[in-house]
Amino acid sequence: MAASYKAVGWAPFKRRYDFWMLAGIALYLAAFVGGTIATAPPGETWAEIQILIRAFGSLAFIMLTFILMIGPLARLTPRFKPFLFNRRHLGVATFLVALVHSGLVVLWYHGFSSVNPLASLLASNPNYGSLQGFPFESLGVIALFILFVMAATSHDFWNANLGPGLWKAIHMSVYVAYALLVAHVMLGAIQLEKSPLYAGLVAASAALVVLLHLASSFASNRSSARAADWIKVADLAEMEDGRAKIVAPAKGERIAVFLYDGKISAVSNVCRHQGGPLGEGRVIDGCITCPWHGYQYLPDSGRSPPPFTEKIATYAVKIEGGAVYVDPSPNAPGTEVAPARVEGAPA
Amino acid sequence: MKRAHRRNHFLIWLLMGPVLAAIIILSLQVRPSDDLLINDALPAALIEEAS
Repeated sequence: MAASYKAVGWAPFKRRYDFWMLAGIALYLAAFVGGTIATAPPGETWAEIQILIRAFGSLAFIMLTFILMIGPLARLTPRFKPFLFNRRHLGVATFLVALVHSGLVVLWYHGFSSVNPLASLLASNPNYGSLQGFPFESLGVIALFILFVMAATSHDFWNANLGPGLWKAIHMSVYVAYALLVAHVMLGAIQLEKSPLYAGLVAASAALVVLLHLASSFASNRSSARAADWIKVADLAEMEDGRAKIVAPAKGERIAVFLYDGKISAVSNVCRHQGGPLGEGRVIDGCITCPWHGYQYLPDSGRSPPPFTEKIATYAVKIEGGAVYVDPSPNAPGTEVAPARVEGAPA
Repeated sequence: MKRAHRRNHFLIWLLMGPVLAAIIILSLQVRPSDDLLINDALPAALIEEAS
């Protein structure tokens, strides 16, 4: 939600996020280079640039693994929601780290001959027919291209101009990039490692990413409710001020039911921006605020506050016997619905 | 997230598990034996000369 496009919509939280992200990157690189030099076996000579190649390459893999874990972790525990809010910056930083890794590789391994370095990178090893000695560099190049497209379109301008469907489809190619990256690492650096530790770490990272995604899917499916005229959301005592309970009707989208200022309102759980889970956000300044990118909606009408024009569906709610209920039939987006008032709450 | 999008996500990760496992297992099978000597480090003198 923005009246005009800005390169980056800076906010204090984003600045803190980026500061800690850059500090983490610098700390990892320093620890990797220092640790490699300090623990190198006697007689083994590594050029500084080779150590940097490995430092940036391993960092890019770790960052992409973490990015893929943020979504399911935030769904399983709210502690990870702050990471979700500014995931784009982490994604762009991952591309830049991978770009430095590939730049150093081209410079060091392919930059000292008369052959064009890029041609040398892709054509010097034509062993595409066998896994043993496979030219793993090409897998990294394709993954880097995918990360570039994602980083270049990682802005609301592209989301608005490509449309949410196409934009989302492009950004789901990150899964292909991750599979390519796992193959790039396993057929490249891991082939020469004598210790099984590194192969184990790559396998454990990939397994963790897959299991977290499946676990979060199971957890959200388990909460699906059966068809009913009114669905019980929760006992009033279980609701937290400024937060929502999410219910999943048998048909249609999930519903986010918010308690705020002694009132209950229900809206679609799907943000108009990029489909973010509104029920995982909270009410800030009287507006439901999406945890992904901060899009806001008024709880009783599902409309974004002026001058913005986004609208989401609303639902009827009621309080009976100390429990909150929601009618799963959606109203047209932007339809005002009187909130249910909590007894004893100030009007 | 939309319901259809969640279902697609679930199916993608159900597929990604075996794909990643296959990549890792196959790449470990073609890994050269630990006894193989690999001449992948440039002699220090050459590096010094080049830089």
